[in-house]
Amino acid sequence: MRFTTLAFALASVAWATEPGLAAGIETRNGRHQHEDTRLGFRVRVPQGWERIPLQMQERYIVAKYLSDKRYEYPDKASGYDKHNRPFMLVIALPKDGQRGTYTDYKTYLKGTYERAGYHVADEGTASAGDLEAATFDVRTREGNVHDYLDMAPRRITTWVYDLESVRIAVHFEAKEEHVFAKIEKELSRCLASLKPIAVEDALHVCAELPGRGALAALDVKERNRLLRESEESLHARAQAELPRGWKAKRAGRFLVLNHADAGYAKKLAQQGEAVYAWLEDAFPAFAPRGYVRAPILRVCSDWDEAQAMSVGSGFDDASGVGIDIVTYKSELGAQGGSFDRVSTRVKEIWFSEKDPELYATLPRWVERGVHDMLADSRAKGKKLVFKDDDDDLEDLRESIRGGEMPPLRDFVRMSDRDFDALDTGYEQAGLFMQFLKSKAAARDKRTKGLVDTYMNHLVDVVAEVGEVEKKQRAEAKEPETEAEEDALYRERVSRRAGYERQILDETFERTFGAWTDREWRALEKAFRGSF
Amino acid sequence: MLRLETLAAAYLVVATNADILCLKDGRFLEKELARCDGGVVVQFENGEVFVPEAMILEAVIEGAEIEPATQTEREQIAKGLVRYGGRWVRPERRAELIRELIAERRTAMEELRAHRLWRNRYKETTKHFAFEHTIPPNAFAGYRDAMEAYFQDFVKTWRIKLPRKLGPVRVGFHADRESFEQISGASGGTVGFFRFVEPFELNFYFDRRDPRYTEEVMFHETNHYLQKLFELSFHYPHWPGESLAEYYGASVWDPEKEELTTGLAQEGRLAQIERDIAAGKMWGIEELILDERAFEHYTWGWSLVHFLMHHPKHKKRFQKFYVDLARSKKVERYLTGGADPLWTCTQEEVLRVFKVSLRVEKRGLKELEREWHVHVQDLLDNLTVRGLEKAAMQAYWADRPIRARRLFEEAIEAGSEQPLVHLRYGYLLYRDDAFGAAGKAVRQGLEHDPLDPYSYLLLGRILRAKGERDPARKSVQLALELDPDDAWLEESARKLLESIEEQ
Repeated sequence: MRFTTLAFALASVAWATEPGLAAGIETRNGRHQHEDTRLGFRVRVPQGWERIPLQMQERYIVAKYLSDKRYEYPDKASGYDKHNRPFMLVIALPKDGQRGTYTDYKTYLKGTYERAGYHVADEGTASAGDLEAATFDVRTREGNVHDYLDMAPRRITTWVYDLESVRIAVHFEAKEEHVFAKIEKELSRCLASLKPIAVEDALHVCAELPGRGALAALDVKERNRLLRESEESLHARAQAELPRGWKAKRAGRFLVLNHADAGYAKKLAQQGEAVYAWLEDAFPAFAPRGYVRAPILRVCSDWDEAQAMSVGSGFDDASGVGIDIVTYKSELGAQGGSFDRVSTRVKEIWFSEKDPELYATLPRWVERGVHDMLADSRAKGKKLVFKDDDDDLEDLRESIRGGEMPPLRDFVRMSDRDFDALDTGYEQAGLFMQFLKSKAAARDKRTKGLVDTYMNHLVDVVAEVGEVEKKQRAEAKEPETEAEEDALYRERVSRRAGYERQILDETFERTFGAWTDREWRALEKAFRGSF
Repeated sequence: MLRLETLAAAYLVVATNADILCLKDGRFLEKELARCDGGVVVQFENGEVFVPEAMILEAVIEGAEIEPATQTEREQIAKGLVRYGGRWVRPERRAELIRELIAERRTAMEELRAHRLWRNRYKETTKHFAFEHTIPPNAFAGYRDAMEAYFQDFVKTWRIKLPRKLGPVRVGFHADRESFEQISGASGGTVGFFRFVEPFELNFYFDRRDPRYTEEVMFHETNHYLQKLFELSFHYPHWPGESLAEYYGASVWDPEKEELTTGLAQEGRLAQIERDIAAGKMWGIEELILDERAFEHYTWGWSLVHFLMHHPKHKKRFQKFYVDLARSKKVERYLTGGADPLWTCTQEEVLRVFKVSLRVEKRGLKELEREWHVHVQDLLDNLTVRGLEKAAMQAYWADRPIRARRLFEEAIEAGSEQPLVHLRYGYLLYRDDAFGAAGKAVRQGLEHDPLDPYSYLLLGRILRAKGERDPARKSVQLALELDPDDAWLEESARKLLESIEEQ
């Protein structure tokens, strides 16, 4: 564990301390209070509000609380009745932050709320005992930056206190209409309640990974060492900052942080474990590559809590997708989207940690195929069982009847753009991947191990094309005339556009080059007969 | 227009502190100012900058004095009188009037500055638009009038019967790109948008460095709203929807003559078309129409609409095709999904209706395509200054420096007044170690915008390369004084200053 000075840590990643609750909720004189002995302050929290864990990549929010009440309101935009649970953020802004860090509340807002559209409707100052605070009244244009289905404007009220080496922003957020006025008085009392206290604990800094390019350039041993160090550090932090009521447990590869019932969390972890094992087995071309950090599976008690968890100012870490999987206990049990979410996140994490560069070059039919297939899978013991999605099947059948489903021979050579233009591309990809990985396909000599063969060729082709490109770039002559420059430009454009084509065509050629029309017809027939 | 008592004498007048300079493009400066012939000199810590009268909306100079310039003035001064507002008054009276005027002007300027904040935005409703804006009122007036004229022109040209109960549509007109993004929530390179489900809403921003571009975006986005008026429940497919919006984007409003000209050449789009041709790609009609969301609908698609709208025979047919898509019973439409479904049609159906309307079902599209490509070449052969500027910028960003240099030179020779054109041209010259010519180009650009910090930054680079350390340092520091809030500028300046010190 590394400890550091306040100024550095404020500009860096972490807020958690060693286990021992240096920041947390407590009750004094019957009042709910958040106390932070690392940053030296105490602030009142509305009665009954629950503490929510922070995202792993969070840089500024030091505490988050969610209202225990659901406020129902009619949503004008959608015409439906909806509910809102207001939340509170405590944000720490370093006074001497490094370049690119948020050192004041307005910059923080700009960096984190811009996509929702907002303006500061009022600002001023207010007194809270001996302290002076800057006050902000903010209105979002519509909805919520973290949920685009949520269209009703929000109101944010914030007081920012200038402590010795840090600014603390106490930020409340609720729907402007129907909700805010109901809680305004209580929020005002909390906003004005901040008190400085003695700093007693040190800050903890997580091990940061270098950028994606730099990480990819390292030799495997060094890269894996850094990934292991990062994993250890992230796991320690996630456990250290766990709010009351949450339980931490290691389940196989997963660190499970649970706020729902233990049985449900166990099933989700089993699902993740089975997906992981399936990927290791199904994609041997990827399997021996980089170290995959053990994912942190957070099981929230409900959808609202999972939504509140997603509020933050962090960014994905250097590996590209982070290792957090946030889900919740769905009333639909194993039928709910939580299982789909765990499966698809494990797939993202697995591929991107193994080899982010190669993952980015996966043809759509493979990438979407695996995604769709895993979303429709459920663990049975240690194995995965794949089920057909009735809607997908019906859509694909409709596409076949309308003559719109492209033949497989064209489908596996499609560019991303052409694939995305298909109405049922995802469904076709999912069912085709499922077919290729089925027992029936394994019995046919044409399709037995076909995905492995394709992936091995893809790995080779990507490496070869990369080498040729590197050589061409090194040998390119600087143009001296406009005509030479035009010619170079033409070549560059066609090379760029041709890169994807070249990879698709060459991999196709090496995998299917010897296939006859008859074999393609047979594959088509077998595939269509599988659903 | 607000204007402080003109001090036209050919000398500087000593001014005290707390002066304010407000430019027509909305920028404010609180620096020591001095009047001089043809403008104002702004005193920075790292140098003086002359700002020409043409850029100034208002200059408040504390304690400004008038020197006698004529015999009459000398005689009146001899009587102990001073001139103020076209009259000769006692000095005490004039001092009092100036104090009042300065206080009044200062209040007006502070009000202007305050209005840059969205919470203090101006609100003005015309017959068809409900504007909410934070741009200087003098700049806004022209856009407001242009929008009304545009609405009426479009409705008349396309013979639109306005839907009943059509109230003024809300327009968010923002002071700059940063506030546009922050307040409207736009991101990812969006420069304006129309919210096409009710309540309709338009949003765009004022680009002080390129007011013509502001107009293009405004006309483009507003066109999406105007297209709605054919049939409120219909949503035009990407082609021809975006292409017609681009066609109308190239409209110009003449405030003097109160005249709107539509369907001009989209010079920036032409530059992109040229880039495609250079890369060996000529788009065909069929592939263009069948693509659901091609970026080329803004470029090649626009040129196709431009060709059809400027062709005596095709114009009427194209207009009928356009209206038919939304209204004809013979067109097959479907409902889009989502919370606010709208009718639309597939690109295949668009192509079918297009062929029928243009009467090329039997002959095919080849002949029409050939005519269109000739039209494109004609447009490319007749680029205006703006076209040259845009083409040069395209070449610059596409890493074609030789071509960019030639086009920048042609644009400057043709009279380009875009500071950015001079700046980029200067940078290319600097990159080629032509430091003398690079410095000259940047200084030329500064004549058009003497307060552009990036020009001083580049000048600092050039001076450093020439070994002139002190002037280089001053130029970079002046850039920082001009815009202390630009993080990117600050970072570049810091590195440059370090390299000057290491030299």
